[in-house]
Amino acid sequence: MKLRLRIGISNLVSSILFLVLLLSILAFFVPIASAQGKLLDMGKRVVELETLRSHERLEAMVHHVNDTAYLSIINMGGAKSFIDVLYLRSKENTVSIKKVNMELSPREEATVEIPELKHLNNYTKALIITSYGNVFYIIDPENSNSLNNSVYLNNSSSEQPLPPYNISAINTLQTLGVNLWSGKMASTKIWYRNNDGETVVFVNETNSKYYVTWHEPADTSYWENLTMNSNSFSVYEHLYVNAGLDGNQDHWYAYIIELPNSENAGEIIVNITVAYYVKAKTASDIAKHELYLALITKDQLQSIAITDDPPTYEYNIPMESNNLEIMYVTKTLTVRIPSWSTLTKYNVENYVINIEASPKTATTKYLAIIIYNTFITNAISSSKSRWATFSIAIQVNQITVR
Amino acid sequence: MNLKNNFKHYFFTKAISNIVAALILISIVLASYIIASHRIHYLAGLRSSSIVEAYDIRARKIGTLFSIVDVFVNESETHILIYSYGFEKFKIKTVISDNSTSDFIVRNTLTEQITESIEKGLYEIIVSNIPSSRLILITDKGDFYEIKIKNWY
Repeated sequence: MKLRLRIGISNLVSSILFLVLLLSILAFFVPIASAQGKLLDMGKRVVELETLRSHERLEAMVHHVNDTAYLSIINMGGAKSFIDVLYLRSKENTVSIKKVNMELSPREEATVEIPELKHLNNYTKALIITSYGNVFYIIDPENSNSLNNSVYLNNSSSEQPLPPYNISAINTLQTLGVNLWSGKMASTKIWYRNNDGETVVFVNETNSKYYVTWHEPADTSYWENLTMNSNSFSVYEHLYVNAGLDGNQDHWYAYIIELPNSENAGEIIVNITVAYYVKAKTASDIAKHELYLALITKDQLQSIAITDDPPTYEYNIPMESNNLEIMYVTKTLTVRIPSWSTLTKYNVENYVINIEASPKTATTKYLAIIIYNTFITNAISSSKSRWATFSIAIQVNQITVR
Repeated sequence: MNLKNNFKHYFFTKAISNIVAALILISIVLASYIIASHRIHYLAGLRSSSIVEAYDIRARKIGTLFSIVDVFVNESETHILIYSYGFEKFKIKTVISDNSTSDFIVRNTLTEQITESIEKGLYEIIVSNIPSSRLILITDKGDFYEIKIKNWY
């Protein structure tokens, strides 16, 4: 009994001493462990941030389209980028800050309109700063003399193409209308488009004739309650073939729009409103009115040997090919007046057409809106004259260059 | 019989004395602990808090991150643009221009307000003179950053 009592007391004493010791140790080490945990957590977050930062790489380009400045940014790195601000320092050393707030995944590209960059030469420094603290130069005269190692350079250029951009005003772009005539009456010829509102008349000795008039903006008098804005054009053509005459007429009218900064563009999306009016009196004949959209290069444009000589005498300029050489063409509209009928067909339609520039070329591209009027005539009727009127008005709502 | 009584008495007396001794020992231990605990806790706390403080300072230091964006001069001032991207707020305590301290203000470039505390974002430090060789920024965390000047653009 005595022994048990002694053991019990000694256990009690050692337990109390152990508890006292444990509490003392905990009181000492718990705050340290907690602080150490916070430090390790901060270290982990900093390492993660610096890792993402080291994987970030942006390339930026400035483009000027229709007198508007755009900044295209491509994420070439392996991490998602958060572009925070655009920093601009003028030649007078005044600073301008623009909040961008753009998020870009790897390989993603985005374009923003930056009016401040319209006069890029006014700035000595233009930088993009990301939320990871990386600084990417668009312009930097000091890049060979960097001020701090934490600032590193990218391969940006201020003049490289290409932004995805929209054109909503073709009247500010370079445009060109071309008449391409092929047929028995006028052989194969090519002309600059006749002046706005000027009607070119061809009449031959045997009373075959045709009249062509271009309007820019479009003349919409053939359609009731239709108005078109300044980004439009129209072509009117009237063909007349006297009784007993035959011969096919193929007439192209190409309206060519230069697409600025379209080097390496892979896709052009065209949004147009088309109003067509076809009226014909046929015997054993067919009148056909078609619309094509095409993409051509400058070389192809020059190869069609354009002249601005007046068509009165020297109009018979031979062409090697009856067609424009084109990169891509898509038929958009066909209106047909069959034989032995007197019919009128008209409508107003909207089209959104994707044109793929394949293969991609590093040359400026031109959008060609081609109107193709065909009048296939036969001399089967010796007493009946035939005629066809083709009128088309086209408004370009938007062109997207990607 | 008498021997038996004496033996019993001897054992009871010894057991009671052991209990008393144990109680006295516990009392001494507890009393010593109570007397010393204040001092022990004070010293342990001091030691512990100094280690905790050291960890906290280190954590705040490594969480303070910024990039130098631009440095230029305008009339008689030097402008330093810094972008803070870390996890901790900080302050610029001192700017040394060449070898002497300089007056300066810190401006938030978005709000255009003069501020002391630098959070995430782009800030402009306007120093009231133009150094010829170097600028040193010293933060309230005790870090310093040196910017060597070669040419002014």
